[in-house]
Amino acid sequence: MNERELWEKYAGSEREAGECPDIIDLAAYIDGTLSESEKERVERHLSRCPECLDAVLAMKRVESEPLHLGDTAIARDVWKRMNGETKPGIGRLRISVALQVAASVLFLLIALGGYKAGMQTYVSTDVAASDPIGEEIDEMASLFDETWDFFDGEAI
Amino acid sequence: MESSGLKRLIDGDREGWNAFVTAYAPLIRAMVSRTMSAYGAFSAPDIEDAIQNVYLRLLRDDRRLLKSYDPDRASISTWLGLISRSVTIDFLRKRGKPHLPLREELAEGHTVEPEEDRIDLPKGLLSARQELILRLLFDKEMDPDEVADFLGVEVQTVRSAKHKAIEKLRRHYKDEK
Repeated sequence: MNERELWEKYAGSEREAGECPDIIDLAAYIDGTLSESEKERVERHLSRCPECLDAVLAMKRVESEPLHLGDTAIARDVWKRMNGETKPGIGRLRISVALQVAASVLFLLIALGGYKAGMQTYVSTDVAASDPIGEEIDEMASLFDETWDFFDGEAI
Repeated sequence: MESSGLKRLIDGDREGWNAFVTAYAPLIRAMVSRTMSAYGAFSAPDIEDAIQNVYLRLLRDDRRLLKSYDPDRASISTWLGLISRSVTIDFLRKRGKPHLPLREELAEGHTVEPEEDRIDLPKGLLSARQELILRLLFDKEMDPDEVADFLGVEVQTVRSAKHKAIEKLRRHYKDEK
């Protein structure tokens, strides 16, 4: 058997991983603040638990990479919500849902705008003066503004 | 993070929270993005949702999780990075994503032998350190330099530990026959 085959035979044998360490224990292992016996216990676990080993590897890789600026708006909004600073009746809304709704409203506005532009090519100025489509667009624009304020300031 | 800043944060001070997120939002985003990517779930709205979950987890139940942090044991950045990963995995599980990253599933099928071929090993055949070194070298396909960096030891120590571990396994399986 070559080296890899030896390892795979060993790795395929019954070996207890035991209970996963607490996150603070894994953090202490990464930071090197564990005693020798604690370190050995964590290393034994890491060699047998893919999830914990991946967590440590991921943390070490993130530590070694340059970090980009983070958006603090989400955190500030969560703070407001958890501390009762949002308007009553407005519950938690998932950001992905909010973005989907905003994208749908925007798409509708663009479609209506295109429709209106097309119509203006053919109708006379007298007919365009009482254009019901224009009124629809104004209403949609107003709705979009309200929706935008809702997502931006309160609900997320 | 300074202890005064941590105390303000735990006490529920709004400015303490703002200072905290200004300092650590990049780390949280980096860990959430990396974790989602590893699990094959990478979309901007999902990342935003998972980040939101991290902040909710830190603040809920009167900041219970933040209060559990022990600055004498580990840095807040390391602790927070691991928390971010854990919350993201919970988020993905609730969304019905696979339990393991794809690469782990592939590795699992490749390395685990059928039940009938398994044997009981003598306790302590390999030390914890030797076992972890072989795991990192063979399963994670890290090179000895990377393993040395992971463990905080010299690369020669890794090579020596690997050599001894392989010799032990070779002897063990030879004697077994």
